[in-house]
Amino acid sequence: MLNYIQRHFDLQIGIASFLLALIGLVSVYSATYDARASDIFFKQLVWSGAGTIVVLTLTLFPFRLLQTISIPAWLFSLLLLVVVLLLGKTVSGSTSWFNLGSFRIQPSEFAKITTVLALASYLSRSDVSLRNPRDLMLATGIVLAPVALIMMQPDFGTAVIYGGMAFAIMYWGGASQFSLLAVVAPGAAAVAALFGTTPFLIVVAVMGVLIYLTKEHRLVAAVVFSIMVLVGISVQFIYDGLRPYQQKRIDTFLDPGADPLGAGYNILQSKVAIGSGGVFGKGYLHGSQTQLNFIPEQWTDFIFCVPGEEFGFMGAATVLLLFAVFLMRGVTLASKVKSKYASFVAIGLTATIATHVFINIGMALGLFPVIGVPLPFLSYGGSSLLSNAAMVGILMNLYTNRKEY
Amino acid sequence: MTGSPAGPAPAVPPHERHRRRTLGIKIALLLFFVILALRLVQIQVLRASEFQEIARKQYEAPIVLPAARGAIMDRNDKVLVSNSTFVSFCADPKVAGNERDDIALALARVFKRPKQVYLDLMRDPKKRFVVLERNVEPSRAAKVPVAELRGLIVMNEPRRIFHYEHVAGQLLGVTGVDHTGLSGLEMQYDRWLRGVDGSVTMQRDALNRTRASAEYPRIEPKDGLNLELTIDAEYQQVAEEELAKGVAKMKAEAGLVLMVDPSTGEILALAHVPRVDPNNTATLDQATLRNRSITDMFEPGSVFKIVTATAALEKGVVKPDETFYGEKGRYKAPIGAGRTIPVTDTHPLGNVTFRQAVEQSSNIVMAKLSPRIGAQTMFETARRFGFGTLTGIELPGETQGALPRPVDWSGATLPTMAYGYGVGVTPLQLVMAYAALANKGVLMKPFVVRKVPDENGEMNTLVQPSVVRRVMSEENATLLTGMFEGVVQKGTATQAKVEGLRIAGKTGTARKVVNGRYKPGDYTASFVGFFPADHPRIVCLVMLDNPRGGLYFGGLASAPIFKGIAEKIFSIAGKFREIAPTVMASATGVIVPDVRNMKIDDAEATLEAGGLDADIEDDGPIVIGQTPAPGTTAERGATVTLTTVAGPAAATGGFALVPDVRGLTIRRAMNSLAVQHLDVVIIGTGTVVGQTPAPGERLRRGASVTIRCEARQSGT
Repeated sequence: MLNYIQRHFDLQIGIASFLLALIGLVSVYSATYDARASDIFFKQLVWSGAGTIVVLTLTLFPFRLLQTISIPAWLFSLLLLVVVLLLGKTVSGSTSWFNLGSFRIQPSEFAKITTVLALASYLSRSDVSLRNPRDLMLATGIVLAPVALIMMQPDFGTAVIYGGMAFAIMYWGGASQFSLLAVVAPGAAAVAALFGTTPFLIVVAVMGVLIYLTKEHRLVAAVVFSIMVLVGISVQFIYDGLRPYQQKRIDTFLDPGADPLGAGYNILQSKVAIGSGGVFGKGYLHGSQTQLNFIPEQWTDFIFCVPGEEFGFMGAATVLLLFAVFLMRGVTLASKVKSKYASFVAIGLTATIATHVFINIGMALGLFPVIGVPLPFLSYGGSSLLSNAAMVGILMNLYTNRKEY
Repeated sequence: MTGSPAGPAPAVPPHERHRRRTLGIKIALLLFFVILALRLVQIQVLRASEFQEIARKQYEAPIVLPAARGAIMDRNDKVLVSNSTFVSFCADPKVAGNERDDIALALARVFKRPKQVYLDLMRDPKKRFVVLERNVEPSRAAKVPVAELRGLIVMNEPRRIFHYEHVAGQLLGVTGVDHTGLSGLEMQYDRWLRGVDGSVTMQRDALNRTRASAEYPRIEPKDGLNLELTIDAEYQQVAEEELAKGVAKMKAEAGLVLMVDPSTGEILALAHVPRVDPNNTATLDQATLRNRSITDMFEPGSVFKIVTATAALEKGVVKPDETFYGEKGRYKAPIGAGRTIPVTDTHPLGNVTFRQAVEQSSNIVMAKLSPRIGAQTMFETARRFGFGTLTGIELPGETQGALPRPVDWSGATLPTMAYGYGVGVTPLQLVMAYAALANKGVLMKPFVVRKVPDENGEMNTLVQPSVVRRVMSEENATLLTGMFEGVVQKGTATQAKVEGLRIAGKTGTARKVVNGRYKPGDYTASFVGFFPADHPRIVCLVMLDNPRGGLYFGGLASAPIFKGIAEKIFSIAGKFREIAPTVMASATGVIVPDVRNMKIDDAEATLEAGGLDADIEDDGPIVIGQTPAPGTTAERGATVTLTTVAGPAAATGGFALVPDVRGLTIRRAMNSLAVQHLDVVIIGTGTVVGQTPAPGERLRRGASVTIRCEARQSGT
């Protein structure tokens, strides 16, 4: 019996995500315990139920059909992103929500999945190679279309996720080191430029050497190098074009102590909550920072503080461990499945979740700027939970159908 | 959809590349996890205590449990100052929303202001906090249906209540917003009154809301000690009323009255006009607030002749009946080196005895006498009386005055100081000097607080009167008292005379120095006296600053105020009983004491102790009349007939003067009447607009005064 289940269902992914969702429910309950938001826990409970159904449905979904609908689903999610820009609801300066009765739906969450599916579907075609510049451009277009629409909302955090996901798929797809560099270099230059001229020059120099080492055609290399420098230089202009709250987030990341009561508040409070948890934590529902609501809207992007504070290092490390099991399994799955399409989907979804995890926890630990990215399975939010469930369902589906070509 | 990777001529086999990429991605993932885990170790293990400390500071909210400030009471345990909780009504317009109208209506009903006033205050719906009514008395605040009004915020604010408003305002002093004494007794005894605050540590959340936490110990507050004064609220009120009347009548800029018990040095009353009401700290100005009886010095003028007379008598350089020539009011006093200074008398005198010169307050005779006394003796006598030194009273801001040492004197200093110029004294120094005379020549240290804490910190230890020094012999004190009695009987202070009461006293009129020169028309008019002269119980100083009503002589401006005060105190039976007369022997028999207004038993005992019999008519408890009259001489063993009055009110013992309560709030009016042991019948609500009987009438204690009240006009 167990053998049968093991053969047909990916228990590592299933159990790891189940446990993470359970920790999420426990954490949301604690975070909203005295924040006059008790309905949040019950909503999350409802979403978890719905998520379970989504996981089961997608696990048993016909594998071929999934591949067939990949491109249409991507097109449909693009349509939704356009519609949400026109009709959507604005929350915290970002127009990314649909109202469905008393629930709100965020199309960008689902566009992440359809983009992975579409990209996998396109790259798995036998006539497509990432070494072919035309194919590379088209693949990039599949990613950039939703990203452009999401940036118009604007939702910086979700756009970053697409970057992580696209990079992983391109690497997996055998893109040349040069094209990977071409993607990474401008971003690295931009971040370095934010820190100052010297870091910027160092990064430009290092990237220049790396580009040179790829022995790419001089002209192309020169173009890529120029783009990197231009992006770095124009960072200041882009920065000026950002909304004030976004500028503040960047400033705060660069120097969290500068404004501890303003923009740096979240980072400081999150570090205080997690740090004060110590090794064993303060006990469930006894975290002073969590229970006294020092971290605003903790149940969304700062949910990691709850296990961190109330269960200490043990709790936080457990969460990390579960994510590690989940993500490692995802990569293993990508290398095991027979279908090239399935392999791309597995690596894309795993990378998507990994990017969420590293940005979110890095942010909670003060290693990353505060950009609104939820922690998969743990953060409160219906769209996020359902899209995570869908990813789990698809990954399990891939395992079930690992022998299929 | 083949499994084999596409692309041009891979350098390594496809499955090998696949394996390498899997490894690459896994290593990358692992690297990220290691970074996160190391960070966790850093902040949760290595720096945990640092973050725990930050957290503790954030959520620990130490709450002060304020100690109740001690009350201040008069010598008869009447509460002068205590605490009350007043209520302020505020609103959160955002929360109130549409209920703003209900809030405005409810407040308008209770506070009789137009509803629109409150609506205007709450107009801006974005505001989260507006004050609607401040410092409302709790009884009134209770009429607001708080529970029914969403968005209405009730704030309890502890407040110091000065129950008799301006009574003894300068003496009591004021407290600041943090309930720390800023002036007067509130400041001087802040350490006793304040108490020790307790504390409890609460937990505070991000919105600064606090909640109880059992983890921390609770330290109970230790309330402040109650301060018991030597002040007698009745005397104080009498002094203030009479002084206020006198200041108004004489058109003076200011005035003060000091009353002291000469045998102990207890301050019985300390009144200032203009008065201050410490309840309304917002309107107080610092100049009015100061206790001028100790902070200000003035040139005393003739009241200083007590020093000259004492010095001369003690040195034995004058006999009471020695004759002096009064120079018909104009005299050039030699000041050495052939120079003179002019000395004038208001009442030109011819040949007079020393006694008459004192009675008529002759500057010329004093100036003539001064060379006999000599600078050193004059200075030393003044110092013995306490001039030029601090009295040591426990009040903030005392000045020592100005008494120059003889080495710094010019030739004119001695003769002019003989009649009170060239020297600066405080009113308290002056009243204490006369108290020394009244106390048979012994100077006491003045004090205003009756009890101090014992070793257990309880206010139980009575302050023992302390003798400063003997200023003159008892014989000379008696002699000088007799002369000062003459001042009131037939001298410059006949206006101070009270029927049936022997008063000794001295007038003083001094020109005031303004910018270094004596300014014409600016005077200090003073009268200081004590009674009963044979057994002094009260020394009283009345000073007027710049009387402008035409009368500026101490005898004309200040003496009538003294008379008013003495009369009233004299007539308050319960009080006068304390001033127990002793029957004095005279050459032909005994002098009949005044036993009017005494309880029958006390009166009988007093008479019998003096060798007189008492014949009591009727069976009332209080003596209302006596034959022979007080002060007449009767044979030893004679019978004094006492008439008495019956009635329930009299049982409480004595009479009371109806105070003026018009214009006061009901509560203050009731307090004021209660001080005089009077009941009150209230008609209407609000402010007192009329009273029956009229102010100043004499009523039996326990009688009722009817006050008619009307609500304050709205919109004021």
